[in-house]
Amino acid sequence: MLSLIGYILLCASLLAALVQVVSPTIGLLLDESKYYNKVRVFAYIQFVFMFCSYMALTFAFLSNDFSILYVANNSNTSLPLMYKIAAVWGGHEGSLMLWVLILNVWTMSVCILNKALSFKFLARVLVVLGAVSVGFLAFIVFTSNPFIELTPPPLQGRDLNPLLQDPGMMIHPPMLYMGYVGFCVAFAFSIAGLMAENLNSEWAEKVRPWVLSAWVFLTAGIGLGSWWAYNELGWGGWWFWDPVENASFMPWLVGTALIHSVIVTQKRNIFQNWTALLAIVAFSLSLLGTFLVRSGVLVSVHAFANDPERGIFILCFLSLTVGLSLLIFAIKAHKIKTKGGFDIFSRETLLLINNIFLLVAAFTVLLGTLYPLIIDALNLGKLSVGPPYFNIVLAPLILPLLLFMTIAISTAWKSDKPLLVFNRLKKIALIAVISGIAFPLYFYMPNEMVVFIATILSIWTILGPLDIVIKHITKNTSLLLRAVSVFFAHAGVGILMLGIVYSSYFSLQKELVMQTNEFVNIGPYKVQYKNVDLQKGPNYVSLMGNLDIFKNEVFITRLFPEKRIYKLQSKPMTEAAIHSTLFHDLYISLGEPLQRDRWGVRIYYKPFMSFLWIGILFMFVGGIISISTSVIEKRKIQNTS
Amino acid sequence: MKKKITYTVFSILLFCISSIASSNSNQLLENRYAEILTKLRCLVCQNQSLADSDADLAQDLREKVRSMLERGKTDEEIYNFMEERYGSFALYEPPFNKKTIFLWIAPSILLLFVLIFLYYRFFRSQE
Amino acid sequence: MKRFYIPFIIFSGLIVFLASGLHNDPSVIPSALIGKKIPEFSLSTLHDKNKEISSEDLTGEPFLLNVWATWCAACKEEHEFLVDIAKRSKIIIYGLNYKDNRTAALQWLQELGNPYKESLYDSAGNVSIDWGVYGAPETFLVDAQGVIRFKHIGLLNEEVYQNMIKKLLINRQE
Repeated sequence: MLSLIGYILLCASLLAALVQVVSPTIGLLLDESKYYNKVRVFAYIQFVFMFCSYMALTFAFLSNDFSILYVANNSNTSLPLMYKIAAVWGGHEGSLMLWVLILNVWTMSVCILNKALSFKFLARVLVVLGAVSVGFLAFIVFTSNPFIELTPPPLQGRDLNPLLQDPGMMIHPPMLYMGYVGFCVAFAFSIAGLMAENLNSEWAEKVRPWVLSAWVFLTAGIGLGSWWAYNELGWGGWWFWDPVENASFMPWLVGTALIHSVIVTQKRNIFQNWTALLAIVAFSLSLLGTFLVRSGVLVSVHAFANDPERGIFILCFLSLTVGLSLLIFAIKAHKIKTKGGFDIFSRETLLLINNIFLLVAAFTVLLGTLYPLIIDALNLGKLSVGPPYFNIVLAPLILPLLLFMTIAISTAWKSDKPLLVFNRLKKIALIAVISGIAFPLYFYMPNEMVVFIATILSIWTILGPLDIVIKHITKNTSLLLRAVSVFFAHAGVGILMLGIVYSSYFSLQKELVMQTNEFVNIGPYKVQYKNVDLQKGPNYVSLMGNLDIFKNEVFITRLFPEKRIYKLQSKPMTEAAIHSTLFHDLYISLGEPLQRDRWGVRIYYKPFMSFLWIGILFMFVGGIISISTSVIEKRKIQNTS
Repeated sequence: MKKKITYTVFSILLFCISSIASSNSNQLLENRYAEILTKLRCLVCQNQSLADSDADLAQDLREKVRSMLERGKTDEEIYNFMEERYGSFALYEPPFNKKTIFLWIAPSILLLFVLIFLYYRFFRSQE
Repeated sequence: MKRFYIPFIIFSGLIVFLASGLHNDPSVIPSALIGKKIPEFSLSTLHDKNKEISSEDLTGEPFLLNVWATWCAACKEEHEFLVDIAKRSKIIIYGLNYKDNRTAALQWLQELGNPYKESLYDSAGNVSIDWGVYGAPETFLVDAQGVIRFKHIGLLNEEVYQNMIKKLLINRQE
């Protein structure tokens, strides 16, 4: 019964989406406003049906309805409540439901929050959003129906993969999808703008908060994914250049370029075509990511069950959507005429350089991810492109970016003089160079030049915007807030870079067998192995280790790494124990038992890990403040007029 | 007397230096071991390096790497060993050959090309 | 004007590659040893601890080398087929018992039949590493000169077997 209701609601949603696309299109082609004036209504209807269908699926999980195949495959009666909610998006079909639901949320937001848009423009935007919705809904209804029944219904379900039974599973996918899908709005705005042959400053001002919102969610989603991997996977890794990770990183890079390009378009009414193209590319990369994860084309730990048939559907959808948008771009772009130049030394140039470096980086990630596929398709064999490639090739692209970031925010629009900029920045440069050499030298004695360069540039990236905030304290709220948002966002990058460099270069690792009361030194810590006992969890049994941590002979804390055996799985799962401070983490995981009181233990000392999470948090905060500033500015204008 | 003292001091110094050197060389071996493991791909758990994988084969290959290091093999010899048996797939760092030259060079060439193109478009055309 | 078509053209190229990629299975890794001579080794047999077989002993006639183990469920499925071809064709099949327990392995062959001329006992797995083995079952086709001609990963079945024989015959004719 539930499955039937859910399925009908889903189909109703698809119908509403179709109307949302067809009706305004007719209206726009025939220039009959009555077909597109009420387009919001269809969006609302689509949302209601989709929301109810999604809730039906969730209810099926919560009520252990194993007559539905998807529920039986991904849940279990002893699964804790919050993981039942998360299990809805744990598999392919359910995650697509979440995708469409989130698209509907963004569509609703556009309808509700953008009252100032003209009916025509809004209609165009909703046609695009509706078309994407139709594509995904059709995909679900015809190839990935979550409501398929299982007869006879089993008494017990399989279970959610234990790796996913973690709080990270509650927030990482929704946040990530909010980001991925969020770029659809900027995409829709760009298509609408191209069709209207208007991508001017006003258009840029309208689309900017949508770009920032999507970016903020994507940043949080990626950050949470890394943080989750670090805490959950048991060997201290947080980024693997896995194809699915890359699939989220590429839109992020392009999205960052887009944020800066849209600022130029808003401020100076130039780069119009470029901004629109970036928005199209960002969302296209989101769609490409969807394809890569679900088609079996690439090997990935994140991949859902691979099905080449589904792969064909997504590929067709991807070709159609992106192909059509790029054709629209090709045809309409030359109608956009812009005026306005800038000198070779100006903020515009520096932002252009920012875009170039970010896009070449995105291209590199794409190349590295797809290269094994290309080589295989050309019958040249099997090749692996892993972390060493990405780390080597991206470093010379990212480091110069840090250099330019601080110069850009200290350079005027249109035209500036290098000497003047140098004068503004010379104090910061000096502090950055001195501390950037002294700090690593004193604490770590590195023998790689890149550590010094990265440290100097990171400090440079943090101090630059801070200096500007100080200079803006006396100015009006709006300008101050903008400066603060830039500080958080840019400093976040610098802090993140410090985290990456120091944890990569100065980590220590010890892998050994320990017995009761034996201790080992690592970095400033002394780790003493006590024992391993048996504990019981809600749906698992755990072998829990007890290790005492000392620093300078003083007891600091006790850590409890575990090896968990979940009821329905045979392979044990490792849960690491982490003692985290600002400047370093101590990370311990259990290996294999040798005898009753002798266990293999892996101990990692990882400096600056917290900087990674703080850096990402700063970027997130910077984005939020920037959105708030735009909203406040708009309110002010509305109030005074 | 002077000779004896000098001799003793010198030998103590030598002993210290050699023990630092040998513990350094042990640490060096450990560092090489750790690094090589991150650059080899596990064939069973195909998305993990030999450092991260729990698979049996990964364990065997880790031991193999360690024994090769202890027998004085160079990093290059170890990578070649793995490549001979498991193909280029086993190496996370793609080699630099005819097949991969585009992979390694494309980013820098693209960067250069775009910078030059934009320079001409924005700044030369304005004159 | 024309330059605005560039993104579309690049994208089309990308789609072509992705479409062709749908046909390949990225997780299957072909052998790096095809066309090379079998690796040198010397192992004791499964049935007799004291009897040793070396790579030299194997050259002279074409053979199949089947990697198997009692802990491998698929090997059990494949075994019937191996026993079958051992009976009806003249091809020699050697077994490479991979990381297994001797007693269990002998028992297994007793119960399910022994298609192997000899089974080599590689408990540590070192020789298997030299052959580029990464799981079980795997089957190698080696010609009379001791050169590896083909490697099949996974269960051996009639279709694959016929394919292998064809390859061998083609080689003989050359």
